[in-house]
Amino acid sequence: MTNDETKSDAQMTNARSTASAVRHSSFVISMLFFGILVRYGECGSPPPALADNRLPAPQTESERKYLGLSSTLERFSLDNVQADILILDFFDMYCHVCQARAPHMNEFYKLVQSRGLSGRVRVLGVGVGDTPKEVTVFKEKFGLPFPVFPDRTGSFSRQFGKIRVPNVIVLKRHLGHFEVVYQDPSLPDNPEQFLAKVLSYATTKISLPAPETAKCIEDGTTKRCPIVLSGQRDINGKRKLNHSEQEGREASK
Amino acid sequence: MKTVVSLSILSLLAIAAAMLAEQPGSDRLPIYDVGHLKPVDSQLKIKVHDQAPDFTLRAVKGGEVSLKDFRGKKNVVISFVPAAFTPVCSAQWPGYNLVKDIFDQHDAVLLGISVDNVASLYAWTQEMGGMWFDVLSDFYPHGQTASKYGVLRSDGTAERALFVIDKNGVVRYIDVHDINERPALEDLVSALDELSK
Repeated sequence: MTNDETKSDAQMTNARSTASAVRHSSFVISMLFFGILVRYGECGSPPPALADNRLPAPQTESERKYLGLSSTLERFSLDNVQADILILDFFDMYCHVCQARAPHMNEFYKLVQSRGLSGRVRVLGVGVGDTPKEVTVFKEKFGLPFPVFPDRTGSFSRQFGKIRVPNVIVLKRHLGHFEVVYQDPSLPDNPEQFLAKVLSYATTKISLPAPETAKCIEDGTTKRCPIVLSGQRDINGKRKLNHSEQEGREASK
Repeated sequence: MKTVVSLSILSLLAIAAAMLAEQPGSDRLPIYDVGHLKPVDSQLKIKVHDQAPDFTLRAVKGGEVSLKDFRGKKNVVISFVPAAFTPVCSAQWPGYNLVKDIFDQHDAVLLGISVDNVASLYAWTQEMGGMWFDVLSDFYPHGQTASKYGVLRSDGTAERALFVIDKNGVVRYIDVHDINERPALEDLVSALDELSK
């Protein structure tokens, strides 16, 4: 075999291995983009269809008073609640993780009370998929001091996207409506840090455009409007807007 | 050249894996998503007022448990669930963990039954924090007890079903539930209330 033949063989081998590597790379890159599509595909999709965003008003006068609801109201929307900041604690009586974390929200509630912030920050529990008895059991077993509501069909929770429990959503009042400013699938263990975070969101102005589907529906007797979601279009953790991102948005304006 | 390409591929795979793995709620149990299933896929073999078929099954806590052990002593609630580490089942028994007092008030015991083997049931229930009630394995002969009651599905899993059996061993309540959903606590409590009437 001559030197030229050896070089030619070596070049062909190199060419074949390069072609093979390119094919493999193309496959991997394709899979990568497929993965990204699977992972983030829902980010740009519109929120789910308008759900009934009202809850039955509490039966007890003390809970009505806590939420600032009139005694005649049978159902209420979150916008009816008298507060600057609203913490929604999503749980399920049957979820063992929710059971384990229930005491954390109690501690947070007590901290809010002790700081004299109860007039500004209200906590409200929602039993996703739970019946009235099931949320009552959860409230009694863990001594929840704040109102809890059953959401058996999930129609209330769906307005926030697909909610996995446990989940915490923080809303702040802005121009008469509550806006989502923070969402976390797990309640932070440290109530002090969580309160500091909550209060920091209260003073942060966030103004992303509301979803196009955020339109009110009138059926002749009642008018139902979705909660305006801002700060994130998909609050299921896919595009969670953290504090530094918000500050970045503010700074870039 | 090969090294560079290999490193690039490995890097891309690592990035893809990291992105795909970063799912919200990743601290939760590894639950296998079964999708939406045929609501009921079996034919009941007993009805209310029948004598409940006896069974003896291995318990996760050790030893065996027979239905006849409770005859004349306790009312019995049997909760069949389809399989360990599946979505709705993993959010059913932990709820019963909270309401032991309801069972006690009705002088009832709860027996949880699944077609999984004891080791799997042990791992699953331990991850959910453990259960106060007996968890029984209907693994071998596979699904024999579920079959006796007529709640063994064609794929070898059990239905999501509740049976209430009184102290005389008579079936007083049956709920073969849509496997995709969870029975309401209210319905079970009403069935237990009926035992004293």
